[in-house]
Amino acid sequence: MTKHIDFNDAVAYSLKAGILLSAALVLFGAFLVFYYNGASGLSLSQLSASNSQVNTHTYSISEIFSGIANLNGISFILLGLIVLITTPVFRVLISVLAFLREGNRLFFAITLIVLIDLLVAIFIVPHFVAG
Amino acid sequence: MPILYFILILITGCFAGAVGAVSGLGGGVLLIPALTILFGVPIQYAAGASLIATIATSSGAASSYVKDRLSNIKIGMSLEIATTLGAIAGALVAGLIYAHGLGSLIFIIFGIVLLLSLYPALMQFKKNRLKPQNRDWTTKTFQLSGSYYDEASRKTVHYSGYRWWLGEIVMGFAGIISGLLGIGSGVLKVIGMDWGMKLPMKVTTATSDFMIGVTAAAGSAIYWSFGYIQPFLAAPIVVGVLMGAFAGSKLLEKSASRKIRMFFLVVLAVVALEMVLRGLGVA
Repeated sequence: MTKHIDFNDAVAYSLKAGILLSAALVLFGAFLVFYYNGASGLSLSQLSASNSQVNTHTYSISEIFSGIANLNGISFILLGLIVLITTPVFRVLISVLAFLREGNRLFFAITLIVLIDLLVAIFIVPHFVAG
Repeated sequence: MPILYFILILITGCFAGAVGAVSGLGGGVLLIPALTILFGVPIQYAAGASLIATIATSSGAASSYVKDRLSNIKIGMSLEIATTLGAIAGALVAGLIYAHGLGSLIFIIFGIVLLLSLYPALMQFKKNRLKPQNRDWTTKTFQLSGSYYDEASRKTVHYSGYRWWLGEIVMGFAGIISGLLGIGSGVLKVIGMDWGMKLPMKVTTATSDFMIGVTAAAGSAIYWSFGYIQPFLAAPIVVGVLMGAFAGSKLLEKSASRKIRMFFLVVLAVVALEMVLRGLGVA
C-alpha cells in the first residue's frame, strides 16, 4: 500500500513540476521578446497582432531548438508549450510502467492504448495533415 | 502597444481561469468568446490557446486531486481511450471546417454546446445524494470501484459504478467536442461518469479534471500541426489561466456561494447566445 501512495505522490509532483517548468519557459520567452523588441527578424507588433501570421505551423521543431541557443523568445515560448503538452503524456507513460510492474495486464493494455493514441496524435497525424 | 495587449490578454486569461474554476465549467468556455468578441482574435487561434491552457489547469488541479485520492486513475485511464480518439477526430474535423473558411460554424456549435452545458452545471448545485449501487459485469472487469475520505461527513465512502460502455460512448463524444472547439469539455465528462456510470459527484469531477489534460494533449498536438497555436497569444493565456484557476480554486474552497455561481451561469448564457448570433452573422 505504501508503494502505491509513493507512486501517487510522484505523479502529483511530476505534474506540478511540468507545469511550473512550462510556465517559467513561456514567461522567460515573453520577456526575451519584449527585451529584444521582437524575435526571428519580426517586430514586436508583427508578433503580437491578433491575426499574426506567426504560429506553430511556421516553426519547425529544429528551428525551435536552434532558436534556444540564440535566445529567441518565440523559441522559448514554444518550448514551454511543448513541455506543457508532454506533461500528460509523461503521466500516462508512468501509469503504463506502474501497471506493468503490478502485473495488471488489462490496465497495462488500456494505458498502453491511451499512450499509443497520444503518440499517434503527436507524431503520425501531423505528418499527414502537414504534408 | 504590444505590452499593453500582452497584459490585457493575461488578465483576460486570469479572469477566465478563475470563473472557470468557480463555475465548474473550465476556462475555455469564457476564454474563446472573450478573445474572439473583445479582441478580434481569429477563432482558430483562440481555440488553440484555450486548448493548450486547458492542459495547464487540468494538470494543476489533478496534482492536488491525485494526492487527495479523489480521482480514480483506473476509471480515468480506461475512459481516456475514447476521449483521446474523439479528440483526434474532433481536431481533424475542426481542421476541415477552418480550411473551408467555415469558422462561423464553430461559433454556432460553440454557443449551442455552451448553452447545453449550463443545465448540468446547474444540477451540480444539488446536494450529493447517495446513488443506488448498481453493478454489472463491467464493474468487476474494469475495476469501477473505489473509496475516498469525505471531509464533510468524516467517513470513508465506498463506491462502485457500472455501464462502462455507456461512459465510454459519452467520453468519445466529449473528446470530439474538445478537439472541435478547443475546450476541455469537462461537463460532458462529468455527465458520462455521473449520469452514465453512476459514480459519486466528487469522484466524477476530480477524475474528469485529471482526464481533461490527456484529452487536450491529443487535440493540442494536432492543432499545433495545423498552426492554430500563436505563441504570442498562447503565452499570456497559459500563464493567466493558470494563475486564475489557482486563485479560483482557493476561492471555491472558502466560499462556494450559490449566488456567485448563479451569476456566472447567467453571464455564460448571455455569452453563449452572443456566440450563436455572431456565427449567424446577426451580431
